[in-house]
Amino acid sequence: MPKPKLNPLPAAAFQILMALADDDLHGYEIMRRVAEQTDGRTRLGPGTLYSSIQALLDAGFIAEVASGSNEGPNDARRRYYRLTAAGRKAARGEADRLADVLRVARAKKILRGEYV
Amino acid sequence: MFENVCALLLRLYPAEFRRAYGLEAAQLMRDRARHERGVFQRCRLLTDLAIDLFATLHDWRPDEPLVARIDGTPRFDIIEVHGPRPAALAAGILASMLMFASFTLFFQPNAPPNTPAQPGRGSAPETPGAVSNDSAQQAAATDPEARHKLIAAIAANLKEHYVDRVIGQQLSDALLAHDRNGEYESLEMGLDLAARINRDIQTTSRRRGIPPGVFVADVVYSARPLPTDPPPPMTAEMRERNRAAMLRQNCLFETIEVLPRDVGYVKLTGFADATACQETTGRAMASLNNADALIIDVRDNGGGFGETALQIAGYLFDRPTYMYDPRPGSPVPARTASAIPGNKLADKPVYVLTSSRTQSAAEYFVYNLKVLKRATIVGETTAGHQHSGAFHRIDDHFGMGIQEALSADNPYPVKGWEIIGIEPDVKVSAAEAFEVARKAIESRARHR
Repeated sequence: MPKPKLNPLPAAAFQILMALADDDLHGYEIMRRVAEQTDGRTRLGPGTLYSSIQALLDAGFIAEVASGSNEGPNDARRRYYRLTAAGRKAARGEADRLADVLRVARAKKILRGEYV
Repeated sequence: MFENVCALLLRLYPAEFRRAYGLEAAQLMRDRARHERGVFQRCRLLTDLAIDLFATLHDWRPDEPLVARIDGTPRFDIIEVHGPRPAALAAGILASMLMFASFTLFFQPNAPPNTPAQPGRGSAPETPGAVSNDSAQQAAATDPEARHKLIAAIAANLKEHYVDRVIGQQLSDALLAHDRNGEYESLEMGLDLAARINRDIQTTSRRRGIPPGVFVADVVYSARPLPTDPPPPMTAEMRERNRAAMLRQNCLFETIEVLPRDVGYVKLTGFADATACQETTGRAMASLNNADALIIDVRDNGGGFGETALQIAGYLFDRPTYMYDPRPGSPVPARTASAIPGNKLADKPVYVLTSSRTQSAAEYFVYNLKVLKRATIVGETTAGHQHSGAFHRIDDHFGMGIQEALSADNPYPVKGWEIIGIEPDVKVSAAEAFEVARKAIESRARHR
């Protein structure tokens, strides 16, 4: 399946890595977590979500894990994903990059305020 | 209703995406629909899906094909799970016509045997390091005795190995007659000769009633000497790559659903490698455990691994059950692993949907469920491709694949499926098969 490139890390992929920072999640939970952490501005559709997941799997940034639960017929079609050490490092690198952008934006008076 | 609209939109996503993530995407939309109620939220959901669909289609590029398996063991092969698109078919027909026209233009049957090889004529070795200037090889390429010997060997192989002994004899006789008539005299021992022999085999087989598209035999020429040993086994890396690819495609389970009235529906576009997919197959079948009836859809199933077909069949029986496999020395165990602990499907009615595209390992699955009277087969007569052919090395440069004979140990009185396919119990078009099966299950439930 065609995958988006991960260098630089696209916004959707970065948000997915952040969503997985605390828990192992399946697709729908990832979508909800991304919506929460972006105040509803980003709602990942299935195409964007799963092509990004595939790219992150291939890059070794996330890994598929057993669900550990057996909630019925729907469980067979759910796959759970976990952030790997490489994925955490990539997310940190992207966060640093964005922090640099913010520093420049503040210095240029494009962005005001201490905490954004 | 709303979920149906979402499902319809999901069907517009590229097939490759649906194969890999179709189930999860459908589940994701169901989850969203469950939590996002109200007109505004539903509109937003549909808009999100439409935008995502547009973006996905816009950015989509075909992926690389899967790596071919070369582990050297006998097995069912998936050549291509899906049929060609009409546009691809049209392009193929056009290209074939152009190639045929070019061949006719450049083919000179009266050219003297010692005419130097021309580019594209095929008699010259085409690979680096091949012996193109070797005078002995040139002499051999035009040696009438060597050619007669080759034709005789091909004819003998057809006679001995082709699945239908009578037609095998006729194919063999026809080739020998062409040779006696001097029809191969102008051809050097190379691609041209192989192509001409293949054309003669096809012409004879059509005259004997074998429909176009059915594999009979194929003579191949290789400038490099053909290997005498079987191919090396797959490396661990190749196995892991194949395993990952299969898991990405959900082990070829395109759909697993429990439909209204507790009808379990499973659609398989192939039978995946059991070494990678045994667990997924088990989970998929377990997810249907509470169904009151099953519909197993193999209309688009081009075959694959008999082991997985056997594993799925295992859920349909309450005791180890013999499954006939026509391939001599098949690696697939002869009996199912029934009864499977915790399984409740062994006594549930089963409907299997077929089409003319159902072939190979899928036919193995359908055939056995039919002769064992364990399932009602609904749809079209299957393709009749047993794919039990084998490759025969004739000499250093020529070999041939032949549709091989069935093993003689079919314990059932019903003939196997090679060429003739498997007749369904309820003959309807593939497009109608699902609805017919669903209604039959409903009717059965009403009369219980």
